[in-house]
Amino acid sequence: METFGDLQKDLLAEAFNLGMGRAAASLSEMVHEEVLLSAPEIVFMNKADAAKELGRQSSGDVSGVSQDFSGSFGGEAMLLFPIEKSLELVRLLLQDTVPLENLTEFEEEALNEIGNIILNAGLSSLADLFKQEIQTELPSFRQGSCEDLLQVNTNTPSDNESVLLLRVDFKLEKNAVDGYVLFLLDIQSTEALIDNINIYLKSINVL
Amino acid sequence: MTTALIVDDSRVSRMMIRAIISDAKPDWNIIEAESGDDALSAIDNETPDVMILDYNMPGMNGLTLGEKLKDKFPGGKISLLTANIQDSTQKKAAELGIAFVGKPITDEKIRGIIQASEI
Repeated sequence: METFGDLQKDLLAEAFNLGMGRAAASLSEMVHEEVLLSAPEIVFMNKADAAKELGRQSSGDVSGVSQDFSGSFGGEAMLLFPIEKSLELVRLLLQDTVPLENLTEFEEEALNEIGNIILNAGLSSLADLFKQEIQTELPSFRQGSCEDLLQVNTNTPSDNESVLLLRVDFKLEKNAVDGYVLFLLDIQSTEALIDNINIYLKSINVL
Repeated sequence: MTTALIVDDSRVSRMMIRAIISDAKPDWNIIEAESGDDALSAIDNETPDVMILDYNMPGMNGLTLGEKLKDKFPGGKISLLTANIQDSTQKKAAELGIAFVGKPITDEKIRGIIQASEI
C-alpha cells in the first residue's frame, strides 16, 4: 500500500471533520438542537476487532443505518446508536408530523431517512474535496449486536483483514441522544483514497 | 387548482413535505409517488405545477425522472430535494434547469419551493 503518513492522515481527518460538520449541521436542522461532535478517530484494524471494540463501548445492542457507497473509493458508511435512543431520535424528527402514539410505526423509515441525510452529508464532503463523484446505495435499517451489524464472522478470512475505520461520536446537547458515524474501507479502497489525498496535496503544493 | 407532485421512496419524507404544503396551501391537490415509475403512472391524467423529486430511489433516479417530467410539463416547476448534496449532483440538476434543494426537509425549504413556483 502507498504510504499513509502523518500528512495524509491529517488531511483525511480534516476532510472527515468537514464531512461530519456538514452531517452535524443537517442533524441539528432535523432535531432543532445543537449537535456536539468528538474529534475524528482514524485507525486501521480488522473488522472483527472493530466489532469487538464497538460492542464493548456500546454495552448492548445498537440500532443503525448502513449505506454502501462506491466511486473511485468505496465502502460502507454506518450511523449507529444505542437501541433505546432510536425512538427518541424519531420523536425529535417527527414531533410536528406524527402523533406520539404512532411513532413506533415510523421508527424504521424515519431512521433510514436520518441515516441517509447524515451519511450522504459526510460522503458529499469527501467527494467534493477530491472532486469525485460517489454513488450511494439506498439506506438499510439494522438492529442487533455490533458483530451482527458489521456482519462479522470470525471464520471468514476477509473479516480478519485490516479495514480503515473512521469514527466520529455525536451527542445531542439537550436530549441525551448519542451515537456514532463509521466509515469502513477495505485495503483496495483505502489505497484509492490515499491516491486521491496525494493528488489533492500535490494540487495545493504541500507534497 | 394547483397540483403538487411529491416523489420520494421515503414515506416519512413524503409525509413531512405533504404536511408543510397542506399547511401553507390547504387548497392544493397533492399527489404522492414512491418511485419514478409510480410517479409517471400517477400523473397520467394530471398536470402537476410543482414537482418535488428525491434523487436516490429504486429504479430511475430523480434527475432521469426530472428530465421526463420537463418534457411532459414544460411549464411545471421541478425541484430536486435530496440528501445527495455533492457538487456533481447540483451541477447536473443545474444543467437540466432543475432547482436543487438539499435535505433535510424543513418548513423554510418547502415554503421556498412553493414561493418560487408562484413567481
